[in-house]
Amino acid sequence: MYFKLSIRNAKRSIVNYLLYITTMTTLLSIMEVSNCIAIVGKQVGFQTISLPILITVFLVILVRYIDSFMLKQRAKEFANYLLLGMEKSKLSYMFLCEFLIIGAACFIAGVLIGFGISAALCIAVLHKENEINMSLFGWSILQTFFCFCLAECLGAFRKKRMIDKLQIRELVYEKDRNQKSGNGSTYKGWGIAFMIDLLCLTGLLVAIVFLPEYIASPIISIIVIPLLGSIFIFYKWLFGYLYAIRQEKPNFLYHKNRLYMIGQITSSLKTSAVINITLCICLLFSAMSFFCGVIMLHPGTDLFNIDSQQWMGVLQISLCLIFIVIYFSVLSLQQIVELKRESKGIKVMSYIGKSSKQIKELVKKQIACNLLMPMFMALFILLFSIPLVNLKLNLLLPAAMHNILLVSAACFAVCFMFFYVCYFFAVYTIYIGISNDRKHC
Amino acid sequence: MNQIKIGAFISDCRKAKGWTQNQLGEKLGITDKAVSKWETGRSMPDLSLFMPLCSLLEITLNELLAGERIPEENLKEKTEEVLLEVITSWLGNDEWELREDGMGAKNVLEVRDVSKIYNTENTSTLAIDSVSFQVPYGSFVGIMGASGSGKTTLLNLIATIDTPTNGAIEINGQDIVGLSEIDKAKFRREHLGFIFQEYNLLETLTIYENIALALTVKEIPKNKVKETVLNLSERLDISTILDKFPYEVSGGQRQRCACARAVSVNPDIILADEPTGALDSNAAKQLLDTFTMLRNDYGATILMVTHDILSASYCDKILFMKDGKIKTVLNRKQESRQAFFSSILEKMAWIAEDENHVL
Repeated sequence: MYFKLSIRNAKRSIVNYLLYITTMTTLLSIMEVSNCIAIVGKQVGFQTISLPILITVFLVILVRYIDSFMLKQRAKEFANYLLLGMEKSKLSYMFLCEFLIIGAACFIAGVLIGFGISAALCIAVLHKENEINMSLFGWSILQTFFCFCLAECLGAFRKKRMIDKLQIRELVYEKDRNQKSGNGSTYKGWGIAFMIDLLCLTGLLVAIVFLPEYIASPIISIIVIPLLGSIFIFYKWLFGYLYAIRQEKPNFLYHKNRLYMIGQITSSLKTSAVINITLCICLLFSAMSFFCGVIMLHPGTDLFNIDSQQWMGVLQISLCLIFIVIYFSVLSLQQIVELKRESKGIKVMSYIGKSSKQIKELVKKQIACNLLMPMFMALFILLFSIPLVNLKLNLLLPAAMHNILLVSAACFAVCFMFFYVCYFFAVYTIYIGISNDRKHC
Repeated sequence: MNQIKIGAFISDCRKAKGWTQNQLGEKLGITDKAVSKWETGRSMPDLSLFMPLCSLLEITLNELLAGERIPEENLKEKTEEVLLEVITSWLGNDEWELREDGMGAKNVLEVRDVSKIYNTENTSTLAIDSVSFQVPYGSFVGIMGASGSGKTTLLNLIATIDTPTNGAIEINGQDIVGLSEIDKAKFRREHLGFIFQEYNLLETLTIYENIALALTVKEIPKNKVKETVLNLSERLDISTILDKFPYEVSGGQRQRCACARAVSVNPDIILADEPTGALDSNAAKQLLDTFTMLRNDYGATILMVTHDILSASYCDKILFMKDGKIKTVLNRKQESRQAFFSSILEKMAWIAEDENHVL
């Protein structure tokens, strides 16, 4: 009976599950592509197994965010089930079944799309029509399935814990609940940690650029630690700081839309921090893949044989696009869902005197800010490290390739802006559609 | 109601039956201590015990509440007296307060011959039919009527959320019907305050921030925001919950926050749509006292849509709506709240009777 109820609920909550379906299908198809690339790449002589692992990490983090979101959306309904006498274990089972059913559908869709893309890529770049066989398909599916199961199991464990922990009363208010920072001054600790981390990062980067090769080489392998640390600490500090501003109630907060915007940004500060950290890393990977791809595809580069170099270059550019698509798709979906959830707040703003033009401006600012937020730290790191690394590369590369990093950074910025503008207008157009539908209702 | 008199009456009736306190307690399923407390006037029987007690002692409910036997010839007069006493104990002993800026002052709202027709593909519905009325400054006016009588539609037209098909609406001398969308928003920001049944507070903001948001939207100087919020919150008894989110406080506190938000911008008129609809009787009473305080101390003009008689009894004037028209108007004049409550009941009975005659 509970299984049937799960199927019926999954069908009825399909709109709520939209974020989950899109994210899962996109990431699983990307994972299938990366698994196929890893298998084919291995045959060509490249080791690219780290890519599916990285995407699995993204998948686990994003599923975690979606779980919290879905629980918020359905919490009142769950409270009703519990009030009617359903046991918590049965409720968890039902909720997990719903996710599993939709997850399985996403897996099938993602695998088919991913395999199609990777087959096309193999044929177009490597001209390896013969490599597209059942064995490749079978192995890549197995690997994707393994990663999918891993993400689902971790997600299921967390979902069960979340439901077990919440009382009926808490479930009733879960949708409206805002996340709070335990201590208003925690951000100061994060700020100090950020400064220390930044100093370490700067020191290591300067060492890589200015010290001899035999000292610089081992440093390259450890610089990733302060790099990722700085992103993590920065967003923890940023959200803690914004929350502390709200608590301190300074006068400058009560001007134009600042209060409303900060309220929206910090309403789910812990989840938002995780999402921003993940997507900032995603954007950095995208930029690095792009720089590597440009260098590999440059005629002056002579590191491997031409075929392998071309394959690697195209692979890197594809990865760049994949990561950018992940970045913007997840942020856009999150934004659409948030705007839908905010409809009541927008109505209140209209009652207290905001014209629809002003509300549209406010929504535009909100979309613009949210699509850019994970970029802040990535931009800071890139602006700070690119000139230094470019200096080092100029010493290593032939004269024809001097300043290639600066040129590729400019190209990446253009590419990023292109995606940014497209996604911005897509989200805004969808918002206008949603608000028009609401007016007609 | 005189509790001691009622207690003595219960004692007399029990003795007349030849029962001990213990025996009466057993019959009612309670302890003899409880009976003793009633008889000495220290407590009243629970509401659920009123009818069984009357039945056991062979007295009427009127006699129990009057604390004496009522002769047949005085029945009507005594019954009304008892009813008024019950209402008084329920509503409090309020008398009409004469205000300097009271009735007869300049009108803040003038509705003239307003109609609203909703057209769909096949049908057209007349929601408001040639309605005209005025609301003077500093008054508390109620609109009553059954569901679908057009009261919320009328409020929406005044709130500039909807546009009338015909007629004119003037607030503070300004015609609001012909305003553009941007001007309407500006008008709402500067002249209107809203209170809704469902509170309509922003869940992402604290109680403090919800009040501050209205001030920010009205572009009140930044350094005045804190002072205004703190003053109002103290006046409305919500200063201890300012840092809480709406879902963390009770319905009554949420509604008082909505009141603070509405009054903080010093509007010409506060429009309240069933503000007590989601509150229990105690919280509703507190809110209505708050409205009275806002009117008396802040000179606020309030237009409230309600179907609750208790809420309506706090108003100065009530417009009774039926089928999109104002069926009748009831002015409180100088009546006490209790007497006004009875007048509302009578008026409602008259409307219902009139409806039956038509049928």
